[in-house]
Amino acid sequence: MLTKLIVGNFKAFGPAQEIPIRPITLIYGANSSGKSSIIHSLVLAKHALDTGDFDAHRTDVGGDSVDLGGFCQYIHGRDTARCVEWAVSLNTSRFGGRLRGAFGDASTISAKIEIGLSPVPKTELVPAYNIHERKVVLIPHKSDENVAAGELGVQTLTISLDDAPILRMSKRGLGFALDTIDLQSSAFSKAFKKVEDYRLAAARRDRGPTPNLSAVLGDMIPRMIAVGPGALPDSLALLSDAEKEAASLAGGRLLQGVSSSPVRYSSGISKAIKAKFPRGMTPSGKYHMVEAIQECLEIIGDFIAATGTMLRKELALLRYLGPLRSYPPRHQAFSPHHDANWHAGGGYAWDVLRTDDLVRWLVNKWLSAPERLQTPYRIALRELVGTDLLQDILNGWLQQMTPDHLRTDLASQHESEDQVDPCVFLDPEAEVSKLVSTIRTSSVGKINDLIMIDQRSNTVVSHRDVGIGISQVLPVLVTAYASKHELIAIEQPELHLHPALQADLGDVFIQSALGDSKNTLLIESHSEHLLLRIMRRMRETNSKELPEGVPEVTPKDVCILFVQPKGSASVVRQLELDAEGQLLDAWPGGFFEEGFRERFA
Amino acid sequence: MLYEFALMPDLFDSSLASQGPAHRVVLLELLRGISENGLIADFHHARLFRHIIGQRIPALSPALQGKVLSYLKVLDDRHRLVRHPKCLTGEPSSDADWLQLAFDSHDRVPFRAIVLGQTLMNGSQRKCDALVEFFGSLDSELWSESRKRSLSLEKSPTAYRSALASILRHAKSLALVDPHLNVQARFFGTVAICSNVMGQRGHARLHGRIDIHAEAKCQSPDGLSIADHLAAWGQKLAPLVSADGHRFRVFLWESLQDEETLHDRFILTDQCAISTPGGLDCRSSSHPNSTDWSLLDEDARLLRWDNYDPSSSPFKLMEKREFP
Repeated sequence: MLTKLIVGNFKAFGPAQEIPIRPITLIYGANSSGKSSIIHSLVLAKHALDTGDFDAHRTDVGGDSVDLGGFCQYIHGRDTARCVEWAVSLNTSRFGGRLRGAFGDASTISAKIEIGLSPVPKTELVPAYNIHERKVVLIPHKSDENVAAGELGVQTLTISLDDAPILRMSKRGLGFALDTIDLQSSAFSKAFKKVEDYRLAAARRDRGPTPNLSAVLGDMIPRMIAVGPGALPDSLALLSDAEKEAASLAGGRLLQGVSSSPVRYSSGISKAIKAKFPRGMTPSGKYHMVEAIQECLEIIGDFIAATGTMLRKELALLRYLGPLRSYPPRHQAFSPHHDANWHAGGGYAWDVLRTDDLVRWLVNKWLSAPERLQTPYRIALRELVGTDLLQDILNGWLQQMTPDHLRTDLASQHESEDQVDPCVFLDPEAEVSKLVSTIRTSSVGKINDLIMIDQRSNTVVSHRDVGIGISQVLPVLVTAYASKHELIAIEQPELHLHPALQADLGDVFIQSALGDSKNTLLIESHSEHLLLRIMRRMRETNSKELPEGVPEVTPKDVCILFVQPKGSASVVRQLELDAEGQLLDAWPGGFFEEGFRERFA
Repeated sequence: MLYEFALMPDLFDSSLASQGPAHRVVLLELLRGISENGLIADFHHARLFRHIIGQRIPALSPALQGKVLSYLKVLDDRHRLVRHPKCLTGEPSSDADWLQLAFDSHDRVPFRAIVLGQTLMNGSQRKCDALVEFFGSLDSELWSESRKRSLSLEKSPTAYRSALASILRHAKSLALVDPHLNVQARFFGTVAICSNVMGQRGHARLHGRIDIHAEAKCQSPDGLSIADHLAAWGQKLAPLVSADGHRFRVFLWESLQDEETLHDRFILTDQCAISTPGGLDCRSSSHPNSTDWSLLDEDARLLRWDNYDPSSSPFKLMEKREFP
């Protein structure tokens, strides 16, 4: 689970802001304070790491709701010499398999990336004497100073375990050079020890001298380069002597096109390793030593790859619901539009309601419950069938008709012999019901359309016929009810909703985050009612007065953030709650009037 | 400096209000005065004020309702309506039940005063010096002596403990601000006293959060890294964490060039702010200095609270650590 986010130099945020993430994280602040920037940074990270496009304007996840405007726009202060700082910390408890193996015993892993333009040497015009023309001319000269003008992308990647930095890499050409790596960290030392025990034991059996594995690995660091096809590296390669020399000549920048094959080394690189061996090592010892080094490098490579996998996996869980929910057409079954707004605009919610019986049941409960919306409406499915497809069914049904199905007592009413007996059913309702059942169970293609039933008059209406508040809140309810173990980011869930119901949304979020679904919710809101309900549930948890079915809420489950301007940038303040749902920190500008009423309700 | 009162629900009753305009004056003055430097007990797990707000206040005149509610909101914002645990198995059903709850709490930690109407007072079997009749309450010594906003005290453990006990009894968060705070006994003694008295309200103990704000360069001994200083804090705080159950956060700051310097000293809580210009060090009883503590206004409390929030502080946070 995501436990912390760090955002710096992004939109309203200047210096990096630490943002704790809990199962329910509520983000408050005045308009234009920058509170959306927190969620937008996640949207950007997902988009950029998936596609490699760091100059994004619109994203698949954000749809029309998020227009980042490209790097020049989203970098803080429009200063393209800066880098966006973005980091996540994750609890490793849910990791399994390869990820668990890669991160050892650490309980948290953090990955921090800096996104910006790669530095290139500054070119300036300097005077020079042209001996042919016999005059001073200005010629371009690359100075020692760098300017940010190169390729846009991840410039550095820092990986920390339990808040201790383990590995830092920075972009050089096509790869990432390892700036620092803590080979003594628990992530590596245990695994290296296993390698050492196996390989060096074999080498020692030859009774020759054995080198210090960590020292040899340490010497290899300048040759290490992490590479991969995506925005983040996923394997480790070593530079040969020639490449290292070339890189050195290029002022520390690795050349484009450097060898990027995963770690299985060319003979030239093996030679470089062997140069570190002490004299007198037996051939068998050398063999085991080379294998040991290779295996250790593979462990480092796995660690780097696992970090990228972990980041992408976490961001794949992101579900974003923007502040402007689309208002679907009257018959949305006929106009599916799976564009970028499908999720961000909430359009997908209507599809979920059509296809997921449980979610539809839960939403109906919310719509009609006396303590909730109290609307007279119930969402239901209506099956639509093309009339041309009914011909066979009707023919078959008619062919099954026998005189037993018809009334015969009407024959005496004929006025002339030419008149044909009217086909009057003995039990018309039963026949109609049978026909409907036949159509329903037939294999004829049907389209499920979503309808709302006004239960007062049992008439069918469309969401277009009811208040807009319902259509705006339905995507919120569906997202909360239909998601499991996901990272849900919602802007303004309370849109168009009556204040009393905004409080009830608090219960929906509690259920979604702390009930069986175990979602992580990041909610940007202006609604004090929402927060007050959560505070009340904390108080009730503490006094053991929770209503039946409501999950317990403790201070560890909720994080309240307040975004406010400070100078030319925005800052994020965390406001802590105690077990009784009372704020330990002062609410900027004073707490809401409603808080008082809710507390004594 | 922060005195706890028990106000019985009959003070908010329309029958008392009907006895004349003095009711309005006395009630509002009591609430105003308590909002400055007092606490009001909210008995039976906050049911008392739920009862008063839901049942009694609606029967008052609209003008008085508005005034009373606005004072109660101020008190609530300042966390000065302090919750007392449930002491009855059922719900209190009469004013006499509420008075009995007040006596129960008073026996554990005495209130400055229990204010009640004459009828309820006459009906009480118990004699208690803390009982103050409502209409005479503003003239009572118990009231006038509670209005002190400053305190002169010895810088001794005994004097500190006595003063801090009332300040921290119902506090849920505390920030000790003194650039010189460090792990030496002279300073740490004050931290230990705070930890010990905070949340000791006579009933089940409250566990809160204690923040220590000090200057990095004033840490002792000299020459250690900030991480080492924080580790030293961790070692010293560990016994307090296990004994008192509070959560500690240590913030080490430094002043920014050409900006405000870390100099002032405060005791800040979620309920009040006290200026302690003489510092938070605590001398031995044999060589006591004296010092003055002053209660600050709410605006000043909020300002100082902001000053030691890393997101809005004028100082540079060097490092922060949380224990546990």
